[in-house]
Amino acid sequence: MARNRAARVAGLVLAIASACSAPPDSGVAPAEAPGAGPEATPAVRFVDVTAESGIDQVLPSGTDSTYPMPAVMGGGLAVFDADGDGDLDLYVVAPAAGGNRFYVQQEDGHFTDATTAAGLEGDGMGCAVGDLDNDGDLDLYVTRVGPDRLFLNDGKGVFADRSAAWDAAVPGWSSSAALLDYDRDGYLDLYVARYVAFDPARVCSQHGGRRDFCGPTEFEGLSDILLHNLGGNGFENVSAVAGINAVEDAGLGVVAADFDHDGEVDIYVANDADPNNLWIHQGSGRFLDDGVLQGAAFNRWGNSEAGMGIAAGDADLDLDLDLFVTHLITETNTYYRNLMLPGFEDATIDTELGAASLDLTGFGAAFFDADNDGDLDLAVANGAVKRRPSALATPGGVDAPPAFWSEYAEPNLLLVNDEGRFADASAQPPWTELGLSRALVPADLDRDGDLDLVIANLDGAPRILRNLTIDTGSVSDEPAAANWLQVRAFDPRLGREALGARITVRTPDGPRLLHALPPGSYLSAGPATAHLGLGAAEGVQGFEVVWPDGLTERFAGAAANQVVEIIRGEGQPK
Amino acid sequence: MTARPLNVLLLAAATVVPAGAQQIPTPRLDGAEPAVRQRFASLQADLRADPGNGDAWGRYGMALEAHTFTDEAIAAYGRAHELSPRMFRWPYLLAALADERSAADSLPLYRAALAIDPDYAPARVRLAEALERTGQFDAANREYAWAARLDPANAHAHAGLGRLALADGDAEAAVRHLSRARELAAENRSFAVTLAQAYARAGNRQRGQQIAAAARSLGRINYRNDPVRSSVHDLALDARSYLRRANAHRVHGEFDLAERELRAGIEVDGARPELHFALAEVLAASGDPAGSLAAARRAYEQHPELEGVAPFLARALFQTGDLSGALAMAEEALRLDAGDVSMMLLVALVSAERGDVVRTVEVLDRAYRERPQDPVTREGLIRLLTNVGEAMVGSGLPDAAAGQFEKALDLAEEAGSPEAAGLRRRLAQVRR
Repeated sequence: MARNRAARVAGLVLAIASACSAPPDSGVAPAEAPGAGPEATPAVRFVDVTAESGIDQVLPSGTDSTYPMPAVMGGGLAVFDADGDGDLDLYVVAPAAGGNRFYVQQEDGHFTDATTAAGLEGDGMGCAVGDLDNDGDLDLYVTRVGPDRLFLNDGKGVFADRSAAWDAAVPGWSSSAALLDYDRDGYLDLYVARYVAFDPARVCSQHGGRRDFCGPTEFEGLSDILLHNLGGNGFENVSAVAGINAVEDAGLGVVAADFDHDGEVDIYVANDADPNNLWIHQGSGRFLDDGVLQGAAFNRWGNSEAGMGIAAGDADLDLDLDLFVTHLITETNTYYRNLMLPGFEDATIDTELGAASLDLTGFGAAFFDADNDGDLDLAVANGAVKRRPSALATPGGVDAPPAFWSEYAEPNLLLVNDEGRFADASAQPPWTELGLSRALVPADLDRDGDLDLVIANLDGAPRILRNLTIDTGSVSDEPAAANWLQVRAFDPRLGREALGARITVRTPDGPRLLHALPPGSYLSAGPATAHLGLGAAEGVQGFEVVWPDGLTERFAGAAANQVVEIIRGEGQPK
Repeated sequence: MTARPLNVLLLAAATVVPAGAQQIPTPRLDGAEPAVRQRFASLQADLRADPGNGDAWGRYGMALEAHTFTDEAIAAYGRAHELSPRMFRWPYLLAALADERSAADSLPLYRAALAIDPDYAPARVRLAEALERTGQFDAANREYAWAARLDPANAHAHAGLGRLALADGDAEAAVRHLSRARELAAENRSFAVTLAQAYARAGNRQRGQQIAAAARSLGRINYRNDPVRSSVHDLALDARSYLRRANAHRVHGEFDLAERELRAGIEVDGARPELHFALAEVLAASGDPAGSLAAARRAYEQHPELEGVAPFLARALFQTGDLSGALAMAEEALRLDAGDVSMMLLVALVSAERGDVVRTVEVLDRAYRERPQDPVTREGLIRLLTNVGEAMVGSGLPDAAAGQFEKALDLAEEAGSPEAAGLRRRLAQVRR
């Protein structure tokens, strides 16, 4: 509805712009024609199936007339197989007390609320998922404004709070968390990004004094925390030894991966209004923040932006991990292209990723191949943190979010990769619907071979957007053009997925890089099974896997349209 | 690529100026401060009295923009430009606001402004930046170069040339241009960090590291010498805007201007502790300790837990000789932040002054265990430990003194301080 209304006034807008054109003798240097953008928007179709999914609980923000800052920042999500039955379940994290919900997916695809039975009541900001005790099931770490909580899984989807026994109750306002095995001892360590030293007494306002939520610059930032896993029995805080506590920034998004291919896992943190950190692992448990010199701390203009969520993926198909960071309204989201110098460059302009985001506040984001055509597209969850200059929602309209949020609600974005440039493909529902979206996770919920999306919404139900690519075919409506492969990297010595494994796949269209990693984003966790769109290709010729401990193995190819499990030790060592 | 920013941008313009009518765009002022509401009422009355006055529309637009009512400001500037087409400032201010939503939409507006005044370098720089944002790098380069010719001291023009060179892979040229920008605007962090990156790309990683480290102490303030745009922000009447303007003045050492803004803000809303605290800091910097102390007291009375106010007040009391007051306030500051080493030092100083050796040693030991990283605080702690050690030597307590010297030496070695050698010698003497 907001877009239609906006379209009605476009004529008047253009009239103002054209009335301001300079005469030919204005003394202004001649302009170049703007680069031609992608010619057509591919028809990638999603449909909102939340109503029939069985998920009907809202994610309570806990906001009120005091404008508590955590209420506008929260909204986490985990998509993972909690009960080991082979399908994906959901855990939704809410800032308001008692707001968290755990949904188990049934055989028919419906979800049922199992929060109490699973022992997962509570509140929080975000979460991370992984097998922390190497017992073959996925455990859950919940970040909070206050001590964090660790839940260990019994293998059947029932969880026990082991925060105290594991020394996992990180204090302060934690946001996103990432699992990594930085010391290669086979046990997953945990990086916890922390936000600000929030003071609820602080009153903030804008627009001539109208009260509103505070921003991060009102408070001191907090240093992040690195927890070393002590053999699956507990954590030790090694932040000081690792050098992580050297900075106190307002951390929100975090991704752990080997960005420079030196064999050591690095950590990238998106900070809100502070420079982003690129913690390069020096190889001995110590990390050095090299974000400034490697071009990933600031944007092209040398400005630190309001970093929220992170997407990591090989968007330009040159076999390294690029980064995409979401930001505040009036800032563009920023695409950092990995140049492997080592270093990055802000290539937001070249990829045409700026304009679509300039009027929106981005949070969760993920690179994923929405149309199974072999390159990575982007989805971004949006919602303002302060009143928008102009409200997009019509109060009482069909697209209206809860009344409190009418001046904050925004639509989400789908950006489709067309040979390195991204076209805005958000003109149709469900992308036109307005809300306060935060965490976003792509995952193949219905196991049909394309990636669906789950999006957490403040004071709304988490939305499930089903991808119709397999149902309808991709660009050409021909099902054969949307082949796919899913790759699970498994380490039998550890009895769990090899989180962080780097997989190069030889495809008929050239090599493609995958990672056994959750898809990044914001306050969220997702499956580490890697997804690859193959377009018309009916298979791949082979895999080369760099395992987290440094071993490189080659594996034979596979036919399309299946989940392939690659097992460490069963390949040809390189 | 997408029509959304353009559509949203001028939605307000379209809805408030329907064909043939001249409705006044009206911002939502519920909850706004009284001074702001009063100002808008007055400007709207001016417009109703003379709806064909372009300058009145422009002034109204400036007030709207100053209070972040962006859409309404765009509508008002658009009307001002229609009514006064030869005025430079209306299309320029409109362009700068449009630029926040869509660089592409701002281009004709900047060009319209520059057609009226081609020599206003800040507008030419903004046009160049909009061209850069839309990927028109060659045109942007020409406009930056033109702006640099018009105003060789325009740091943003040189920075633009450097940024484009860096993106083009010419790291040497980037270093040259960005170094010039940094010379012209040493306070600008953006220029410094981009220069650091350019040095790294050019192969001089060490120099890049030095510049990046120095840039850490710089704030986010991105000052532009642009009188036309600055005049907008001067119109904001809400209390926070006074504080924001005062902070900008402080960064440039303009303490008298900062004080003026803060006193005006306090007149608008005297119940805001952050205004009093900022005034205390400004008065301390401009050499008025008594005024500073009074302002800090008011801030503390209004919000005792306001970040930084208790330590500030403790230091101010100490400097004015009120040792009891300083000690009490420092203890209070430590209650709020148990790890504040600077307050531990103050407690130790006052305790030493009063001859309370036990308390002095106890607090210094606490400060030592906190391992302060801030160089000034660490240096202060080293000095204090050393002084206490000397006092202990003088009192015939060499063993206790050695303990103090050991701690001082430990901190000095950790920091790589040149004082370490002297401390090592002194410790050896004391032990002998």
